[in-house]
Amino acid sequence: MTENSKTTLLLILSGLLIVMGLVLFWMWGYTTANQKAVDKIATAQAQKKLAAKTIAASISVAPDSAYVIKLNGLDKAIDSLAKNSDTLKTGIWNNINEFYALRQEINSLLQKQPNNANITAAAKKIEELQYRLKQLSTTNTEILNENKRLMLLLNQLKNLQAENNTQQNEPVAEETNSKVPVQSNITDKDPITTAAPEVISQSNFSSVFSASDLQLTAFQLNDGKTEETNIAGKASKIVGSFNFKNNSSQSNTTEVIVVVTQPNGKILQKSSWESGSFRTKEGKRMIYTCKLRNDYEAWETKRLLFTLVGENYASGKYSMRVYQNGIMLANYIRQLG
Amino acid sequence: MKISKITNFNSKLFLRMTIRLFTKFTVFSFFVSLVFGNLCFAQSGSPIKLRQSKVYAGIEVGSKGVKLSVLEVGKTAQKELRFNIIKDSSLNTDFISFNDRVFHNTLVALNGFFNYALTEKNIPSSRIYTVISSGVKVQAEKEANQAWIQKLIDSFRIKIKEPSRTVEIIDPINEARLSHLGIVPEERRYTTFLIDIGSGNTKGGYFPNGNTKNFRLFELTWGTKSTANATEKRLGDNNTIENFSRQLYRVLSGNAADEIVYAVNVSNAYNMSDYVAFSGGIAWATAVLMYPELIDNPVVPVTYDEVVKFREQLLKNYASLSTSFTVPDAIDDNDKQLALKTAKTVNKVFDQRSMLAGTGLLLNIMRQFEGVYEKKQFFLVKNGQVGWVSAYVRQDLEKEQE
Repeated sequence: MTENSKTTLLLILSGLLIVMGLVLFWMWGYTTANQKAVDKIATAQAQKKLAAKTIAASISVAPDSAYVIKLNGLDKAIDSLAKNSDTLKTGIWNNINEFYALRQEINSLLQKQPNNANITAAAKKIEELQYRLKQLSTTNTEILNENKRLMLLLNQLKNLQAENNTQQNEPVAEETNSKVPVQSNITDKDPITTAAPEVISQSNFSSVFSASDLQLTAFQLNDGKTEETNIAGKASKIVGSFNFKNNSSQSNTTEVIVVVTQPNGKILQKSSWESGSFRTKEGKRMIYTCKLRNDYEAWETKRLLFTLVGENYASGKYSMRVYQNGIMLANYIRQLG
Repeated sequence: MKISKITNFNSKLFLRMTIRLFTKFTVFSFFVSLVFGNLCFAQSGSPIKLRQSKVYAGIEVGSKGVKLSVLEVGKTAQKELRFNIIKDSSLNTDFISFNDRVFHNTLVALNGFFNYALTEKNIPSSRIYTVISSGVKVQAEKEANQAWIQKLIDSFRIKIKEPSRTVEIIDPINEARLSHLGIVPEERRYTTFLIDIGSGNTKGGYFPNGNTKNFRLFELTWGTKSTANATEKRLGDNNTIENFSRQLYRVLSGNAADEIVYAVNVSNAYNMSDYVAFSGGIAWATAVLMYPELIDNPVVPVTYDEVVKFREQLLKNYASLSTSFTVPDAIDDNDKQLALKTAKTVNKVFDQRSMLAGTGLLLNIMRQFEGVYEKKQFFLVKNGQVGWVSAYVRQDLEKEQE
């Protein structure tokens, strides 16, 4: 490489460096100028937003403070009531969810740019919110009343159990027509001394429903007429009945399971299409005699009936148990001679 | 000439010997089948004490072979007409091949079963029902082989010396109708939709017009085995049970689902029925494993959710339904032993995959009846296979009462 060509190369390199320096300088200048313009626009927009918020606040200050903020304070109290209630839990949760949704809607309306349509919508929703509040208040009262009533029932039950325990501990002269606690296993080992019917009935209020006044009656056919009998051998059918009470303000449909045990410990089945198996709350699998479907209204008591057609019934103790949702509501024992 | 004569002579001798040997073998296998009959067939329940009972026999010539069912029919203490299966035997003769050999085998079996019922079981001829099943009829019509059926009936009549013997050739609709009449009690006859889930197909129906003449047939080309086979084909290299379950879901969500939805809608059974009863092998197996405590009951009520749970148990805890199967304390020891024995038989007949396929199909059909506003009551029928005999018995009893 000659001396001249080296000099030319150095000159070109320095020229390029100068051009690059100029380009960088121009870019710096452009960015700085642009940033200042962006800051100016942002400041102007923030000022506009602040002004809009101030206007909105001045228009919507009354509903915002009077209802939404106040109701926020009530939420905790409503939650605790819902948690403490069993029977109306579903209903109350629905109401509370609706209430929350409504409140959210009002909040979002109030945060928007105020205009006539928004204000009208907010007013309507506030009215609805007031209505929901009334509903919640009514439900609350209902829960409190129901709790009071259930407490009374529980106290009655405790007293009844205490009475029964006392009676059981005392020496019993005659077993017939005496009340004893619920027996889960009925055996034919118990001596049968009389053909007179033995009635043992008790109801426990372990669920929303209760069963009472259980009856199991045997009938015989005499010259084409149906007559009541206490003799098992003569019976051609057994009719069972009981009062089924709904202790809540809700109306719905439920299935009531009846288990009738024969003196030999086997379950009496209505028919193979009507009997089956179910699981008790304790997890025990049991065969049932029949299932009764019941459409109930609030606080309604219904007399439910079933008929077991058969012949050559064995003499001894027949037990009838009523279950709902795996919980035994009542037990009854009838002796046939 | 000599050579040909000798050849001719030998072939005749050979033919005679073959026929003799074959006859001996058939008779032998027939008796073996009778001796072990109860082991051969699974779907039988425990004997119930019946009043005023009589013994009946039903002999059915089916596609696979000839089947004998001996039933004790009577009334329970609850005055419900029920039956106990005393004997249930079958001989595979493959009648639908329609040739001289299978014809001869079928005739021997038919005659043998008839004489067995008549002489060994002392059942009068009037209480022995003989039918040709719909499977044979359909196949014969396809191949224009109806003459073989008529020949069989005529030969049978000559053999048993009863020229006026009734041997009904049942068509699919009449078969489903008879099963319905035999299985479903009278008080639920017009409110129950009966579905028989077989191995290769599903059929059933209901009485839509409040009389037993009009029957609405319901048919599906899917059964327990065909569903399991379709799933097996999709497995590829991954033969795990998890993959089987996944692929089964694909099978049941595809063509099977379309066909089920269409068939149920067309049948109008949802609007016309209060109860839906399922029979067939998978219904029996599910009923036995789900409710062993109801071993005495020929019918078991179930809900959709219960079958869903059972299917989950099949997939995730199969041992609890097979090797470590237990029976609840709700029944006495005799019934417990019987329930355990029957469960063992179920597990021999159906493996985990067949059970999954069958219950999957069952649930897919059940889902069609799980409406938002109205849910149907479901039943699993255990002894559906002898429903037709029971139907004949009912018809005869009704005639006697008239």
